[in-house]
Amino acid sequence: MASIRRTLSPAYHGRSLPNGVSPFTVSSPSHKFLYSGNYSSSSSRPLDRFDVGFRRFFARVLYQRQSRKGSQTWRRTIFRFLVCFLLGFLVGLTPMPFGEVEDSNAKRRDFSFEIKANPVNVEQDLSNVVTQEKFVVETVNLGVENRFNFSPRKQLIVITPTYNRPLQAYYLNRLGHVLRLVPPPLLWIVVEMNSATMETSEILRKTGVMYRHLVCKKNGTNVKDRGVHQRNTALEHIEHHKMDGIVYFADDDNIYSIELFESLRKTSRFGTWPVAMLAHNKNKAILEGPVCNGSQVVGWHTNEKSKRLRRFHVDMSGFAFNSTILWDAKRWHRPMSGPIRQLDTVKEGFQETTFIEQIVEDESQMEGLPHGCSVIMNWHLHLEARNFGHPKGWVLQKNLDVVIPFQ
Amino acid sequence: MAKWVALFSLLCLSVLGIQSKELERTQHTERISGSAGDVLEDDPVGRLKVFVYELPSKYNKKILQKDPRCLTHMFAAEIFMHRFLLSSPVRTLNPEEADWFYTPVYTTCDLTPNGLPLPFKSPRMMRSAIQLISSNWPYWNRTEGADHFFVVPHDFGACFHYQEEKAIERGILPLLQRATLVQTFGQMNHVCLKSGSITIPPYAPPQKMQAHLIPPDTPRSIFVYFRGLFYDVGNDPEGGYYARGARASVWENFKDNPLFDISTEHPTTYYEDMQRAVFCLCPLGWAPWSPRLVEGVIFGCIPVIIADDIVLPFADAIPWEEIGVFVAEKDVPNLDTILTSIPPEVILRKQRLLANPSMKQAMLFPQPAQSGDAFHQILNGLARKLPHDRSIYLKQGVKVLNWTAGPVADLKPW
Repeated sequence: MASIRRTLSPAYHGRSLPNGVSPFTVSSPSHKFLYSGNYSSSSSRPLDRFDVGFRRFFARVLYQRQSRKGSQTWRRTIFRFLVCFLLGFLVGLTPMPFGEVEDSNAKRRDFSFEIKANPVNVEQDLSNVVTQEKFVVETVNLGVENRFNFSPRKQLIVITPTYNRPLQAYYLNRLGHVLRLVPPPLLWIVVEMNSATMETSEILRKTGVMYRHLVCKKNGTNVKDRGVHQRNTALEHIEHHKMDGIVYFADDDNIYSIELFESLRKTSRFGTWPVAMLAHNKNKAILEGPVCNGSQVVGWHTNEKSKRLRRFHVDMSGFAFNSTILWDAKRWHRPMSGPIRQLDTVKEGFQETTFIEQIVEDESQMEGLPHGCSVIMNWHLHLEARNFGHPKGWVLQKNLDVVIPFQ
Repeated sequence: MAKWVALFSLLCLSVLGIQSKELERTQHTERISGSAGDVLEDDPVGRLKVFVYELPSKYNKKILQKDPRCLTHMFAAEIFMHRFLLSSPVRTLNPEEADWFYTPVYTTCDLTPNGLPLPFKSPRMMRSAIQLISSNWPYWNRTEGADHFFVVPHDFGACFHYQEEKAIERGILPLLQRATLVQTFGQMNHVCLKSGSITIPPYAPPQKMQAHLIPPDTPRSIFVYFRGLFYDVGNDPEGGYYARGARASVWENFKDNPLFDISTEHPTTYYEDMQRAVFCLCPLGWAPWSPRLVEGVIFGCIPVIIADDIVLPFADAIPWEEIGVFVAEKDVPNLDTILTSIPPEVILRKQRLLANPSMKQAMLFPQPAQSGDAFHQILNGLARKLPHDRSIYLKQGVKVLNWTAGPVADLKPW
């Protein structure tokens, strides 16, 4: 009852309590019930009745003290106390607000439980880590809460080379949001040229995806080879750390669907699929990738004459492979003949095929995804202008101090 | 009648509900309370008086002039403590009323070209300073240094050597046997930690760290973060000695674990990355302490301390077990299981304790000094040791210290 007294006094603050009536006036409305029954009709609004009845009650009390005789006053007093007791008892019984708080806690725990259902044995659910602090490590708690039967998900290692150009922020943001939707575990390796700029770091940090920001320190590279060196930096990192997962090269200016990443997880050694593209003169849509029978690769789509001499007609974003191939030669029965890297000595368009030749021997070691290779899961539209002159870094220190070569 | 009762009870309950909800919303940091943590907010002014000896500038200013890098390396606490005391209200110019005496001698300011301090001249320098104060003032001889304190932030404190074996061999400088030592090094049952010493954090430049703060609502998407050496190829080519093999164990066990973002490369986004990490490893190196502890506390990353028997800064004022995670060196191979099995509530609680501003302040040496910072914690520690026991005051002519003890090379004048 003491607590009720405290909470009620601010509520009653507005009302002037005449004659030093104690704040213990919980009983007042109940008394109003007793005395005002004769006076106001039951159809009037409760709050109006409340106010009117309150005032009437005080008038009654004062009036009664003077006029009624001893025994009746005594009975009324007892009645008053009984009603107060009843009201206090009722209020004390109801645990609603505290129950609400506990309930909401339970709800939060339930929600976190859902997230816990997903995680993998050792690999963690960290891409679910969103802005609110309370969820930061809801997902960490795995081995202990393993009530659900789930098979561990394969880790995806997505390599994205990036460099400064006008739409860099747009592409990184877009790709970051896509990757955030992919169920974990996923590790995003972003490779930048020369130095890790603060602006790129900020964009990456906000995505909430588990990422590693690497730097490729190679000066004065040919434009066509910049991506090659950046991807090689990432491959070196994977080899050095002996990471286990499916490696996928995802350039920031392509468009990906979530089904793509689901299919990637089904890869065991080397997976490939058709990628939709625009032809060089942009007047038609073409496919680059395998022709499959079920999950067997039986042929390739070919397009330009200049690229007919390739062994494998695959786009950089049209294949994925198991990262252990890079450092575990024994498992894949490969000869240990130096690190597997993309080559910067081949002409434009041949980087993919020369790289894949180092990973697999022939089409029998490839898997076509999804079944029948009949679904397009990502698009590579060469919409960017080549050899675009862009100043180094994000911020222009001097006005337009750029030399744009004429072609 | 029942309608009124119902309406009334509804009113009461809604008011109660609002009150309880408000109580819930205001919890974002947690006060470090209990027997230890309240002490962080004590104000030492008025509780003690410190007298600062006026030493010739060859002991302090001239050394600093020769190499200003001493102001930014992790041993800069000795210099900043001197500057703080000179202008602090606890300083007294009357030595008769002083409780503690401070000797400003910068023993850790003899740097190699790489910036690492050479401790070879430090014992002689300290000895020369003590000889000066004992001959020019009577207060040293009164107690043989028991009410004097010295700041010795080097690797192994007053043992004045960077190699542990040599430091143990030398032991604490004999002349400092009775004095209170304020040092960074702290390891239990070790020769170089005297009982009664005050352990302080290594110096970390506050402005540099403040300049790299990122929005606090950035998601912490790294689970475990560490940047630093795993093998010290220059000094320990075969491995096994450096960090007692603990760092090498971390690398070999977890280099391929995607939860562990560990590497030897020092990125430009080092401080930002710590702010988006849940755990930051603080393994021992050549010495058990490391500036990573300070960085972790400032950036809200829970420190994972892998250093057996370490004594952390202000251990009597900060409840480190509740804030950090301690992993024994032999348990390093199970580090991932240990860290992933910590319940989320525990982690959130630790993050709230770390978010407490008094916690962060206590680890910093800001210029100018602010209340609750490391300078004040040192003074609090000194104040807690007061009043001095009567027995430290020696009778006339009684000598306890042996002025000729120690290696012969130390006895040469500086």
